Amino acid sequence: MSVLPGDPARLMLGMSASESAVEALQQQMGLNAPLIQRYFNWLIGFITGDMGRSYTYSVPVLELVYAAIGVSLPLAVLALILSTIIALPVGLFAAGRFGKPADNISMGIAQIGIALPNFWFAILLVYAFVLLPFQAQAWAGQSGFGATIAMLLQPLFILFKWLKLPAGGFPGWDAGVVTASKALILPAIALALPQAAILARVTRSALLEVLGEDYIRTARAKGLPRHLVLRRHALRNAMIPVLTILGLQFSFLLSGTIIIENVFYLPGLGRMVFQAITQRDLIVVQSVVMLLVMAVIVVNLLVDLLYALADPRLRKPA
Amino acid sequence: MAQRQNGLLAKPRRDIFVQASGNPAFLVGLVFTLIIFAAGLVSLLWTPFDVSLVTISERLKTPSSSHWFGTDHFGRDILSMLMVGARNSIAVAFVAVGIGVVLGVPLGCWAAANGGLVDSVLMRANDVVFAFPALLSAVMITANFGPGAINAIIAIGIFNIPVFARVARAGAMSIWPRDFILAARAAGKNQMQITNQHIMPNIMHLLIVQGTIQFSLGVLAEASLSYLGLGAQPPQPSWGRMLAEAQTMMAIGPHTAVFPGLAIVVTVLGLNLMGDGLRDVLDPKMGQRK
Repeated sequence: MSVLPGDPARLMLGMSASESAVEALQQQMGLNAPLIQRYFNWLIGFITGDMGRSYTYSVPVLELVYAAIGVSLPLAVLALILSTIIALPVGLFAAGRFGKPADNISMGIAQIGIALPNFWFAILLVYAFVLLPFQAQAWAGQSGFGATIAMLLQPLFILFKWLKLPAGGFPGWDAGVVTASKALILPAIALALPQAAILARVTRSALLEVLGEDYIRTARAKGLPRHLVLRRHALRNAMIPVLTILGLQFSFLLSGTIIIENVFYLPGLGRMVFQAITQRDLIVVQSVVMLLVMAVIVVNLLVDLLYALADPRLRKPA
Repeated sequence: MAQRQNGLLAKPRRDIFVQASGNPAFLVGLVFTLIIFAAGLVSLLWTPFDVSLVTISERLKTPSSSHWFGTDHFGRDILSMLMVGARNSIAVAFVAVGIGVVLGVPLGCWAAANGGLVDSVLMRANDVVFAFPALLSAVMITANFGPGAINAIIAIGIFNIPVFARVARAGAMSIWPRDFILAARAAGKNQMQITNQHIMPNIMHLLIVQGTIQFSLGVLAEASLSYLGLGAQPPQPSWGRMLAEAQTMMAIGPHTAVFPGLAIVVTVLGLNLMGDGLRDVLDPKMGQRK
């Protein structure tokens, strides 16, 4: 980013700033040092836990990052859990009914889920959960088709109103775990659903692959019912590709947060890096990008470790 | 020898589309895609209303016989805006795929033909690009060089290069050891000629399938960038920005958020179904599983 146009010092002082003022600020920010030297200074700092000071906010980057991780990490984890608990049963269901209408319908829905832009889905979620219950109140008084629908959905709307899910913003963890978690529910659903659609397809195709194996026929032959074969024998063996995709999806979830945190005005890493990029806050961008890439690597390592848990054959003989 | 048994390679390539026309997923996808393409093409000549026409008295009208999809907060016709937006989405995704093909395919073929150091360096460079969240880098590029359709194309296109390089390399590597390549070599053809005359025709179908997938990802990426305000700039309509504007109008005009989103879903779904259908036809083994 340093090699790209847009000088942070000039951006901070505005277009009408004098050359000398810009130079003085560049000096103060250490922008005069050669690029390589600046990079290594930052890198050494990063490793030792000192990420430097944000150009824009003039506070240590570590502080900013720490607060943002408190939003993004729970969000990503929640989304990952949601997508897994949606995808695995759907994949099992579809694989168990391979080629039947139920399989085609659930995979058709998955196709739509993949095509759904997550920010559009997020906007619709906000509408359904936050705005619609109140608008429907007005319709219920009228007559006609809309009123009937509003009447039928009334219990759902009462539930949504009772849930009081916020349409955006984050109250902070100080406001209490319940209040804070509520702010993450809709964003997590919006992030999770498109990923769940992909994961459901992968689960299904991995299961179908496994179902052709000899040991599945053996399990069936010894009299195990179909659903038990699916759950006990097939699912476990199909976990490897599913885990691989889960690991890959973590990186998609992270880039998804850039959009979703902007939709919901959440002060997480994604929104922070987006703002930092537009404000030329190089040091924040570098630090966050480095953290994100590190997170991707760590998650991939965890996935590798999970392989052994899922498949005993991959464990080293003692 | 394993390659020869692979149905994917044994099949003559000319009848791909003939075979695919019997695949229901492909047909549905084709229809969706054609609708969007047609809307974009028609918008070059005619739209129901002028997209730059601001009529405040007509603002936030719900769908009616004169405005099929209603109007936005400036009283502009949403259908007209979607039609012009289709042009924009298609153009961005198409050129981005073009960048990927024009730069990625030769790189991949080159790596496959030479192997060794060239190959490893190229593939490691690929890994680096893959490890980076693509959207993050696209945001960085557009934020630095300024928002706009051209920079969005470049930002999306750059990430298509390693994708196509990888597909071309994998495809080419499975062709190189085959007998007819040996024959071509014996006939005195050089690496370039073999690649052009024998490798390319045999990996074309892989590239077509990948092309449809990258096209749909390009449409999604363009929508995301323009949602963040980094795509095509006003007054040029774009689906992503229409959604960003609609988000603030949800309480009074929810219909403004419905149609741009549907347009994106129809386009992406259509392209994905086409890609799936083509892949099923090309690789029957995959078809049974997917």
